[in-house]
Amino acid sequence: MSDNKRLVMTWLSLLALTSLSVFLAETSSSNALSTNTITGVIVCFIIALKGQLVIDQLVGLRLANKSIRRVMLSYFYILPLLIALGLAFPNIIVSITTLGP
Amino acid sequence: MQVAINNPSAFKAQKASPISSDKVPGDIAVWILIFAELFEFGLFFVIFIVAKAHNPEVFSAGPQYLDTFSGIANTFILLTSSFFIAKAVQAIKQGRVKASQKWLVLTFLSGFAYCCVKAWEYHMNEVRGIGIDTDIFFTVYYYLTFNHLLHVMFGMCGLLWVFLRNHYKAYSAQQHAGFEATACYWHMVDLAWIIIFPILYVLV
Repeated sequence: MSDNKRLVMTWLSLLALTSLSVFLAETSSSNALSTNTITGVIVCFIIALKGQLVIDQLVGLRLANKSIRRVMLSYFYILPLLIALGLAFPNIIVSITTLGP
Repeated sequence: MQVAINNPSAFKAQKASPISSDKVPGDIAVWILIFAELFEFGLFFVIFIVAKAHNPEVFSAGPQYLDTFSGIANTFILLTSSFFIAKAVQAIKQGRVKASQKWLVLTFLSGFAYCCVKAWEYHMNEVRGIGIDTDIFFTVYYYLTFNHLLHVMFGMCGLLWVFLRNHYKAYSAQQHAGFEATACYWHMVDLAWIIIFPILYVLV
């Protein structure tokens, strides 16, 4: 695939993924709490996917320094995971961040 | 270039299949800055997660008062600006200075459009009686989005500087580290928004 085509495809994929996450959130917002949590986890997965697309294709780290790429990708794997865990297990977050009995 | 002169077929093969290298895009200084900025945003994302766990009702109601359209518009604008700056870097790497200037202008205009949408969103919040001290959701919202807006403005100053230097032929296909460093910073601004948008506007 040519560089031009790769950049255009990445850009269109990013727009599509954004639209998908908004669509998922809008359609599930009136439903049950568990549905919202599942949607939240999917949205977090989309965050990681978008981050990887920008890092690898637009910044161009796929073919550049491996250490910088690893740090950047870790950021986009760890933070969405933390957000998803926060959505799925809020009580655990509350218990480990509350001082006193 | 030496490869091309001595062995044209080897040069063609190298062009056809890009090989992974250890090259740092831009320079190492900009990456230290980017890591520091992302660490700062990361801390506030963790604060967001903890505050949301402690105040689930407030954080569920918060996004419903926000103008989702502004959030979507700004996401599309920033993703498009990242595409523009990637095209600008591609152009300067090929020595096409005029083309790179065109893409830089488009990136700058995208940044300006982002600022206009954000200003409109803050104005609409004010009309609805929403402020920084409305509740904890809006305190986090204003800190994250205003901090991000400042980074966008800082990035725009960088774009302007690169545009002027490029105008005076400071960059070429061989020497474009400063150009690429500014592009990396601009991508960081987009990357931060990729997380900010869903946690503030989408997830309830």
